[in-house]
Amino acid sequence: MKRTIFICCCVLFFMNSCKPDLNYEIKGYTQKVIVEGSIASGEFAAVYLSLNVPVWEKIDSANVLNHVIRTAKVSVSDGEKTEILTSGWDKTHFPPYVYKGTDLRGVEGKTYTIKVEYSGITLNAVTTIPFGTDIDEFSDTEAINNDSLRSILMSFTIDPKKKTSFKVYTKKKKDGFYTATPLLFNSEFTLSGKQSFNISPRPSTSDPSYSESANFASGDTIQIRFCALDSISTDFFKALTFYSSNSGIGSAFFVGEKNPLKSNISLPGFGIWYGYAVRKYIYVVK
Amino acid sequence: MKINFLLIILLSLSYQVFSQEKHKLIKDSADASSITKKIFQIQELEVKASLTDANIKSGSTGLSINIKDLKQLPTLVGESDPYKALQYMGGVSQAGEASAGLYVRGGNNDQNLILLNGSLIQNPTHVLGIFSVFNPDLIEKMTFIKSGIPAEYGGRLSSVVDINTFNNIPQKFKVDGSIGLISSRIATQIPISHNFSLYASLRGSYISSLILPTLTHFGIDTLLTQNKYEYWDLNAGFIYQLARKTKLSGHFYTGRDDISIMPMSRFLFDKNATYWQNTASGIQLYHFFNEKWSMNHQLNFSKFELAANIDLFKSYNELSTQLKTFNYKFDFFNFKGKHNIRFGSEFTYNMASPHFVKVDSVIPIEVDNQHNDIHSSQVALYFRDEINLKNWQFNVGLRANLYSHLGPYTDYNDSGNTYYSQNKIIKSYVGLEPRFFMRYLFTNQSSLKITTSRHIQYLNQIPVFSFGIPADLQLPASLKVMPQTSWHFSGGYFRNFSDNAWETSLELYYKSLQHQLEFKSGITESFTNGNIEKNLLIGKGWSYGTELKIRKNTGKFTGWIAYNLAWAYRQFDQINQGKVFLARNDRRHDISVVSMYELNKRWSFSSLFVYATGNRLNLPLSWFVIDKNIILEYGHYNAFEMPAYHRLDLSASLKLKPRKAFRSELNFSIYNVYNRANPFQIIFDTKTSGINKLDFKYKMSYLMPIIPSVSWVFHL
Repeated sequence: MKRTIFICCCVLFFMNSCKPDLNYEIKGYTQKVIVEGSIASGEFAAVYLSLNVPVWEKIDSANVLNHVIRTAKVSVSDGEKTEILTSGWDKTHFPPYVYKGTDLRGVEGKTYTIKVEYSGITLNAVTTIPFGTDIDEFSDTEAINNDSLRSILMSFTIDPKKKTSFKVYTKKKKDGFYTATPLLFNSEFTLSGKQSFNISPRPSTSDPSYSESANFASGDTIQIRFCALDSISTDFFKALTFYSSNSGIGSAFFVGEKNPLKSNISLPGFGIWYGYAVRKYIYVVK
Repeated sequence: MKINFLLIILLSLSYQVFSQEKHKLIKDSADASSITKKIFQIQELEVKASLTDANIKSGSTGLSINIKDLKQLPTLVGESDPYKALQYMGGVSQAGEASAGLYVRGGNNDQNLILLNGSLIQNPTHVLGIFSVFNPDLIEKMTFIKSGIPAEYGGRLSSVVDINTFNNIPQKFKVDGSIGLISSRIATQIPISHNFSLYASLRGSYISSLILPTLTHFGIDTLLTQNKYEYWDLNAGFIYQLARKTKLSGHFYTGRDDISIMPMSRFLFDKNATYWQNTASGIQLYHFFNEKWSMNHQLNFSKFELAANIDLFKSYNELSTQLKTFNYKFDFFNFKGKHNIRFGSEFTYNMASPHFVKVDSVIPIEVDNQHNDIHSSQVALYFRDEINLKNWQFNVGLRANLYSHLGPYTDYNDSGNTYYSQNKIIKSYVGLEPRFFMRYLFTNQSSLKITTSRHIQYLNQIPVFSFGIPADLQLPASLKVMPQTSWHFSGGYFRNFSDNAWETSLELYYKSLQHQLEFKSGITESFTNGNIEKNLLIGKGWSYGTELKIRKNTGKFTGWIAYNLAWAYRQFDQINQGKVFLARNDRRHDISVVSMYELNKRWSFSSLFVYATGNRLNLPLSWFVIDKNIILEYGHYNAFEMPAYHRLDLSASLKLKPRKAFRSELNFSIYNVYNRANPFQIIFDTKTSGINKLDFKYKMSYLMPIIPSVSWVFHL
């Protein structure tokens, strides 16, 4: 009996001792200041700052805030006026700390410069807000296999000379914040004339509207932000899809990108400072 | 892991019924079939393992694959797969866990010429690489050549795997087969008359009908058990002794794999399915004029098609790829004194549909449908002379190719499109492939071999997924895609001891690769961009290394140790900012230890140990969040090394007491004895359970745990 137990223990030891670990040494990791800043037409600038996290570092809700930058000085200028942004918590976003303007509102066609000063380094970036596009028409149709849900289609006219792509954010009545439709429309700048676009947000599992998936409940009131992006921002967000882990692409089928993601923030910073023209709509689903 | 374990345990409870009786050669020396045999013995010396000094005297540095020895190796779920066994023979690495692909001396997976009776096989994989497409019951011989490739073989850069099914008329009706819980197979050989016979075989799996419902019944991960992995294949053929000196034979193979992965919401894909199908058929005519002259004609057709679809962003996305080749080849053989001459010609017509994308979406996704089928023709002339001079042997050959890209074709340009009409020659590539082999015999037990050769590859396969499911796009050379080329230099010292009881060898090689291809973008691009020629990156590569082998051939204890020390590099202007990087298949160390022990007439044992440095991988260094997306930041390309691959397999055979013509044996085997968790892939798992609640970690997935298996084999 003792012999059998000994043999079983040996077998179990063998079976449990042979799981390899990935030798995840630091190979070229450098700490960067990550900038996600934007200025929309008619709105104030909003800038979120964080530090990139090494992949091998264990992150949980307790230490994640160590990577959020809360002590930077951020200023935005339109060439005539310069405004130092004020900071505060923003629980609807990650990183959950925002540097926000209170004076300078974005204007279509105008160029804006950002300056971030943090821990002895200075980062700069420039963007121009493109000219926006209006929605011509909204319509909704019954969702497949569910007559209480609707699919929303919107139509608009693309001027190819503008070289803009489009991103759509929606907020359902039950949701606390906007959710993006994960598609950058006209990202190749090849479309022109009248086009239709199916709004299909991708709520996460924790959102109240998760069960509705990319559809909308009949009778719901939807807030829509229709954003036009210039070519630099378009390239960045298009590339973002490939580098994104939670888009499903990077995680499930590890593609492995061939070159680093491009950024318009000066080194040692990384990220995007972008201006966009926004049109806001409220649509009541039939 | 748990699923796989249970699955494989169930699979291994299968039993097998197949006959291993080989064809008996017709002994009459005047009979044409024995002449056939003689011819084969001369021209493919490396195949005849019965010559124990074959490694010293053979005219190439290929491998001798003895099908009988192969059956003594430890098997996976009772199958002894000759093609998979190449991975243990030295100088070859398997493309990855659960892959039937081969990396030969730093070459890519698509650079191996795989022939079944002369017909091209584009994808040798069945069921995620657990099996190859070759039915072991039908294989009579297999030739594998990794350097010193003679001029009659062309079209690939790295190696030749030439597999032949039975080519002689059996003396009696035979049925071989196996029945298992995942698959079954049956093969029959029917002698219709003294000069005509037929053969046919059928294999098929029913994993989704039997094993997966059983697992579901016991409540084991209902999501995973909705997946589907199935394959089937069919072989048929005939052998007709037309006249005393003429033989006609024909073969047909078709096989298909279907894989689908059911809803995996966290990965966003609603459905992911892939199928691929190989079809190969051909007719061969052998005629022997006299002792000096003979000829061989082959007419071959092969077709490969693959379609993968993913439901993504409320849209159905499908990509498909297809290649058809029609090939006619004739050879003449001349044996005169010290010269063994072979010359001939090969005509090939290829029709490829490299990358067809179909998107059916409620969202207006932009699809670039600048699709082109690529038609091409290839004419090859070749000549080689094997010259035997006392201690010297030379094999000098030249292969000349004229490859033409033919219309119809549309050249899509920003400045305007150019249309080429049907059969118009759009672009031609002329290529010469000199082949040189030299062997010097120091004694009957030691020799030096040196080879130099150039190779050109016109048919390419471009991988778009980096995980296990094969989805390689079939892309022939065209107006925009130049053929791949390589130079291969190799030399080796071969020394046998104790009257050839022991074989040793040391080989060195250097290989340079030009016009290597990589898919430019990721998975999304592959589904939305139909013009693959616009989505390619072109670069170069080189590899070098050394291979050591020690083999014991006689006695109760036999086996071998093969060790490779190798480096493989790539350089692409548009990858890694133009800097040199290690190739995905760079493996510094690769070792196989195979041992067989015959205890007595009834019991025999064997073991296999393999160790290989992990594949290179492009992994991110850090992550951050922008626009609610977790973004991965990458560093130096392929800077990471997967954990090493190693495992030990054991097997034992017990011959049961024979009863009249009935003989049987029990085979016990354990695959992966110490349950090494060899990584299949690395994924980045991210969960967001709230706007500020992130859970990010990388995970390695494993496929093959310890797999005990018992099989019962009998011979009627």
